[in-house]
Amino acid sequence: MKRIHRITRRSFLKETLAAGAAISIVPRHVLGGAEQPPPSETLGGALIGVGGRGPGTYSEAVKSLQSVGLGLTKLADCDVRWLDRADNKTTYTDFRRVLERKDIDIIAIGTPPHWHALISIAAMEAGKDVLCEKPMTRFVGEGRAVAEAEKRYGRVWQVGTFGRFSASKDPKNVLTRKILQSGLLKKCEAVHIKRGGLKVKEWSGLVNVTPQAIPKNLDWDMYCGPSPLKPFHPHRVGGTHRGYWDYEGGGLSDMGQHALDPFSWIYGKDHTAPVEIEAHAPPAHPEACGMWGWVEMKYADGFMLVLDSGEWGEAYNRKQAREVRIEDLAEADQKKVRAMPDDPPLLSFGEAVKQRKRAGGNADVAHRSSTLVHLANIAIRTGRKIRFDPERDQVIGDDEANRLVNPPMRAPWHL
Amino acid sequence: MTLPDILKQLPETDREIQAKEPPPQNPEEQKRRRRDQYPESWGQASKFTGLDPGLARKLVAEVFAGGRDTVVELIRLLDKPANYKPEYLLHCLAILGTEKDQRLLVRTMSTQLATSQAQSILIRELQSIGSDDAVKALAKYLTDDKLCDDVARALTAIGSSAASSEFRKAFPKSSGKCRVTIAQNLGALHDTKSADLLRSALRETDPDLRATAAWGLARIGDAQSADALIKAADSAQGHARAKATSTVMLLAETLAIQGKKPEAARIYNHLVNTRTDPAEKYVRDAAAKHITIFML
Repeated sequence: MKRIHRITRRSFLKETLAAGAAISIVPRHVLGGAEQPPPSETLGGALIGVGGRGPGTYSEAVKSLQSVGLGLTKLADCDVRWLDRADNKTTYTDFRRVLERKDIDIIAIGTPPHWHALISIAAMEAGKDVLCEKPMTRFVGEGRAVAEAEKRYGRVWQVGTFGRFSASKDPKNVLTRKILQSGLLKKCEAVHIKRGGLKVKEWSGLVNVTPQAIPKNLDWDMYCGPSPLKPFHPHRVGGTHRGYWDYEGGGLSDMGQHALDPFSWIYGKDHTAPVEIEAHAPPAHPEACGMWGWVEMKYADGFMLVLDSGEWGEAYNRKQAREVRIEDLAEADQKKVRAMPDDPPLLSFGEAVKQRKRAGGNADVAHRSSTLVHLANIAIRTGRKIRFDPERDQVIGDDEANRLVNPPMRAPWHL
Repeated sequence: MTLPDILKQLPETDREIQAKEPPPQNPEEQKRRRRDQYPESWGQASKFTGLDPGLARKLVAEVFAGGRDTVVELIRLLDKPANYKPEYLLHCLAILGTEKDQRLLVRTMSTQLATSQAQSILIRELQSIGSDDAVKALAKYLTDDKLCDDVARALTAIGSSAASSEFRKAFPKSSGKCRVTIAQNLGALHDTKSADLLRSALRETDPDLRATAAWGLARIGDAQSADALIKAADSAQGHARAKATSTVMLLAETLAIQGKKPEAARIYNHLVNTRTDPAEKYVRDAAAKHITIFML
């Protein structure tokens, strides 16, 4: 029953997208009119989660909006570590108070990832546009929910990694994408190997931990939010949160989307996911993200993506990297591919806000690239080869693995 | 092999390994080691280094070869653990055990739940591999302030009709945050049998409970609660208004998907007609768009 419900809702939202590919709803400040300032004026912005990458994410929003002639004035900052200084005027500890301000149009999210989906959805429900730091989500089900909210409310949502924009301008990548999207490649033998750069040891968690007193300025309950309320330890906060399943998923989650978001564009995988995933890793710790060797992910068309950490065990040696080649196609098919029109240019966050269209790194495509790291982590955590249904976003035939696809949240937080 | 022997074979943490290293040979090495140090306030906390998968399977088989008694012995070690190893080994049993082993583990953890001092750990493992065998044992804590959230997540992960039934049974006896937790999980499970309970919760004083019950009813697609949900959304202010309106949108969408088009149309039309403030134009537009898409 649950599954039928989900598929149907997804089918509906696909229709929504087809019916309204261009977002027709214009925000107050851009629209102009008697009660609304003209487009040349400045939008109101807020940053939720000011530590780590937060200011950088907000700056990206400013730059992107400036590039299309829109200003962004920061009206509010919000952080759960400000119990001692929040004034609920410009500094907040509760993001909900920020979202109810009518003078704020743009929300930049720099919190740890276990909050990304819920704040993204709440912001769009409140009519805001969102630039959200990567990784988009903590687990697969969250990404689908953000994408549904984006379509339901016609808001702009962009993930805070931008590699796909430069990748989409490289003629070699454009051709690769066309080959794979053409459907003319009957047997794909390509293998893409991403070696290193995933900070596995650096962003692993601690064990043998003794709980400590919660600092007076920290709203620990709010920090944990939808995740289980665990005893406090400073390593769970402030960047090192990356090392715990409750908040992120290690270096793989932290760094993976940087590499895999452009990958998804280049190889035409923005609307699908691998169907088989296998990891070589020690049995995972139940709380702390830890070491892993490699993860092999196979798509339905045969395309293989390999993540090789280079930090644990033997290096991946099952297959050699092999690029997609135009010569893999018959001559007539090569001509067809070369004749395919280019995709329209990807819209930056600023362009999307101004034109009321979907951003290049919108929630649908970001969901697919974040799904790659989540599936890799599920294979690492279960120690088994898993099979995945990209249409239903469900693991097939493995109930335990499926429990990691959309784990329940701590009330009252829910998707 | 005895349980202490098995535990000895689990790997040391990085701090333990570092402590055995010879003195640094050069400034770079010294710098690296300093960088890897953790503040003293973190005590013995250290990074997990990982166990060879082949050895892990062997050790797991050894534990299960000892049967229920060895599993109980391991669970008792969790009460006062000397290090990370008992908790980690228990998790290895959960993820690497055969189907038969897992049944034994689930039953043993369920029976030990009442006396263990490490209930959260057992519940977490039951969230990972629990079955109907664990439902009754878990459900006992649905009204326990300290554990209701943990057991609710485990029961929802199990996701069976037996789990839903326990939520329904516990709801009338619950209060405070446990009551909100139970309402949320009934919604998460799309439990249509709980519609009456959730409707009654709409009249309670706790705003979190009312909002959570409304969300559950919207997920179920309970047409009877439409007026109450609309009234709540219309009268709410600030963030609560956006959230309650979102719940109304969810209800309309669910009803439309269920083929209850007049009920869905009534809700969408209400939003089109009432969200006239320019700040809520996006809601009006979204509702109008959905009317078109669903051909209402």
